[in-house]
Amino acid sequence: MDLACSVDVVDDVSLVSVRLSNPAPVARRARVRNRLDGPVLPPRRAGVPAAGWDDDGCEVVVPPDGRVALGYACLAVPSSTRSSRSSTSSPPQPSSPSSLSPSSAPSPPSRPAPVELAAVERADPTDAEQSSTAADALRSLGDHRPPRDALPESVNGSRDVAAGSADRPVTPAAEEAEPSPDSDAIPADAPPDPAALEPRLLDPTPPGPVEAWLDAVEARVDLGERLADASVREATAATAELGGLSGVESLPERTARDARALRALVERAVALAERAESLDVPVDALRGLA
Amino acid sequence: MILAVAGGKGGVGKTTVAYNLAAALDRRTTGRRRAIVVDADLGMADLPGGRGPDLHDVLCDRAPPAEAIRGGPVRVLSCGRSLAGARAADVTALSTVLRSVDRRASAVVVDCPAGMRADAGVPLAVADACLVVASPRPFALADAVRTRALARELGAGLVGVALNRVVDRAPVDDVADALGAPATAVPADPRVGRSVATRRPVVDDAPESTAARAFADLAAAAVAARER
Repeated sequence: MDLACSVDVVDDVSLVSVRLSNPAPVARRARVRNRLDGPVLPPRRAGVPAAGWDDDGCEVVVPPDGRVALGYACLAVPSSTRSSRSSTSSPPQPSSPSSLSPSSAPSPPSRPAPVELAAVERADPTDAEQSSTAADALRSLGDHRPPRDALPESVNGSRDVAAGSADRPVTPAAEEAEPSPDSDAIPADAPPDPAALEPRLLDPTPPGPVEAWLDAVEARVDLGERLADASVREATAATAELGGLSGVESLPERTARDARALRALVERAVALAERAESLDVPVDALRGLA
Repeated sequence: MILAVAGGKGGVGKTTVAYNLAAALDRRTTGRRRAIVVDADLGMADLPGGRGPDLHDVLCDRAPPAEAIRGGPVRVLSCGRSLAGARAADVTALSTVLRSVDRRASAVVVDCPAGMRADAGVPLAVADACLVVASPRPFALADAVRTRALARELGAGLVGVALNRVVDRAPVDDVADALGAPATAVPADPRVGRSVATRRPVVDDAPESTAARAFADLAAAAVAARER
């Protein structure tokens, strides 16, 4: 099995390209292991790593007389940025095309390759199929989740679409010289419209301001989770949404505060719900008195 | 045992069948452990909810599975009802959650969503076996075949088919031949139709009815498959 690889370094992230070629007349399974000093960020499908990838590298079957190309990112920079090749077959092969990283020094001495062939074995076509995992289902069937744009509140909670308020975004008060009865300035503070109350009585979701707060908390936690397991691109986007590194630095404290507030809310809400459920308003008696 | 109740089309009665099947499984077991129905329709909850954490919370790691299980004539782990919750829920965590619930239960009956996206596929990938619910009308057989194919691809063997809301004779033998598993006709009994909303499974409410016997047969088929 021949392995050729090249590394491009962009913003302290190594983008490693690997080409495997199998000169044998039988299919062979190769284990490619990352040797850079950082975690492997594999290609992902529908939010999960592509099949065959794990934290160390990947396992791939190369067909007889065939080639496979693969690539991954790694949050580490190789000690040398010059491309290199290695081979497990005895005679040296003619060098395969390779790319030099833009930041490589002229003619540096040869350094260890960013990947290595950890194992090569014959790929048995009668290998028992592994049982399907949840990740397999996700990869092959696709994401089912509602798109982010469909969520009722934006991250900064500027839109209030709770039942009973106008289905229009809050506009700055300065845009309207004279507020009209239909003005949608701060709908959350407006007295509830009696006509709109009817569906609200049947709707168990919390009212607008509470929903807005919960969604803001959820957005912060969501960003934190995205940062926790992010590729470079995802981390950059999430950091930008938080307003830069200072936003990232303050995020743990904010989410800890959110957690405390939510726990206090749960206790209060449960107690209130029990009181509400055990209410026994003597409607008939009061009706008789009226 | 984790048993997925699936059926490609919406509205065939998967939730009702799952709920009543769990009650029928309970009738067969002695001991304290009971069956638990998990509403895995992440985008559109089917089973009645209540106070306390739900499956969205569990899949976002906000609550452990045990806190989301509620008692009643049938033990239920219901799903959340918000779009944000559906967005945030990690469907791959469902496999850990279902296995955790399975350790507390005599059986886990997973009410799967309609369709063929990951939310339908993940429960099938995790489940040990699958029961397909289909309409008894002729054109619905193709949906049942597709669902069985998806289940097979994801490693869930078919233990039975429920032809739901049967009014006249149902093609039970033809369906069993086509799908390679026992087929049972569940009659269009109004007590079945309201069993979920009123929390009265038909095996408890009308144990001598044809519907109750049908669910008992489905439960027997599931148990027999597990013991093979």
